[in-house]
Amino acid sequence: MKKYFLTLSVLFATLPLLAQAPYTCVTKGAVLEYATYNEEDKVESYSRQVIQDVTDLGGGNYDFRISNSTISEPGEKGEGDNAFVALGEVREGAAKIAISGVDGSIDVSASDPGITMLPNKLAVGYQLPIGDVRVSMEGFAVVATITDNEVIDREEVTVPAGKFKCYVVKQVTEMTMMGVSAVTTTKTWYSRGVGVVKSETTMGNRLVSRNELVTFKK
Amino acid sequence: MKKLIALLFMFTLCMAPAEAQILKSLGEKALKSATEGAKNAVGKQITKRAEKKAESAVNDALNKAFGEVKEDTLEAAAAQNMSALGKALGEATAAYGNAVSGAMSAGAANVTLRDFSEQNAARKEHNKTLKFDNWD
Repeated sequence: MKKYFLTLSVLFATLPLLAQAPYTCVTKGAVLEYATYNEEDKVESYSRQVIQDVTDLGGGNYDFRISNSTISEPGEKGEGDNAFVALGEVREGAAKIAISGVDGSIDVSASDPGITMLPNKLAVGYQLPIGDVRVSMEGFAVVATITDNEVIDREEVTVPAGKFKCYVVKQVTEMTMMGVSAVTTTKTWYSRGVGVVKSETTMGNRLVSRNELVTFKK
Repeated sequence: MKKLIALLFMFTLCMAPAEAQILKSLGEKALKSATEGAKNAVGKQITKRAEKKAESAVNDALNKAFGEVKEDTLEAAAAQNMSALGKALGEATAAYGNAVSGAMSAGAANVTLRDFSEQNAARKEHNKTLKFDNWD
């Protein structure tokens, strides 16, 4: 079950990377390591993404592979644990991910495929698509509704990996599981050529988790 | 779910001193509560078919776990200081969880994603009013 949630959380972190260039890293061999902080703002885990292959198909379309794994500390040698590979396709419209290294596969579908994409031109106030998103994995499916999805700010943000110019996207998600509804708000800082630099998820006024880029090598 | 756990907990507490009839009655209540719980948990988000599947799965699982609530089984379990029924309760709880998550998943798989094209068209129009620069 832990592996399931880990994979799901990495998947959601990976989704924005399916964005059209340049708000993602499309450099073969690039390494992005993230720290995940818990509610007490203590490091809970580290994860690593390695851009293994990128094929530029032209017109803002790419095929690529992202190796994902958990690591015990930044810079750790080896493949890490719970490794899996996300095979990404970015086309006008549909985005689909197939995961290897875990049992079964992950499928993502959305009422508006644009939800999983980020345009290459942003401005504060830009409204990204809203709608339902279904994630199916290992025979289990969940449906969430993105009720708000907007660029709310832009700023130069400093994280352990350095200083980055970012646009800040606020996304509000509603999900019902086991009869209990939860509304989460996630703010994500995106930088050109990098992708996600930082993200914060809150429920009400409570910070649930925070991710920061701790290593960026390309 | 809380109601089910409370009932199961009550059930467990009562097992040692209770007579078979009390156990049977509580078992039936737990079964009913589990079925209702499954239906409530999946709510309106799934199709009737998935809901029935959940109810049926819970019924089957709990009937099996409680050994069809036979008097002799319950008496024997009470005599064995709860071990048999304790195990059955664990299995029932797990079965309940599996049934609900399975039904919910089936429901999510069957849900038709809603059409947000009107709202998103308005959002696109709004974006046309924005000024883009080369800040980054």
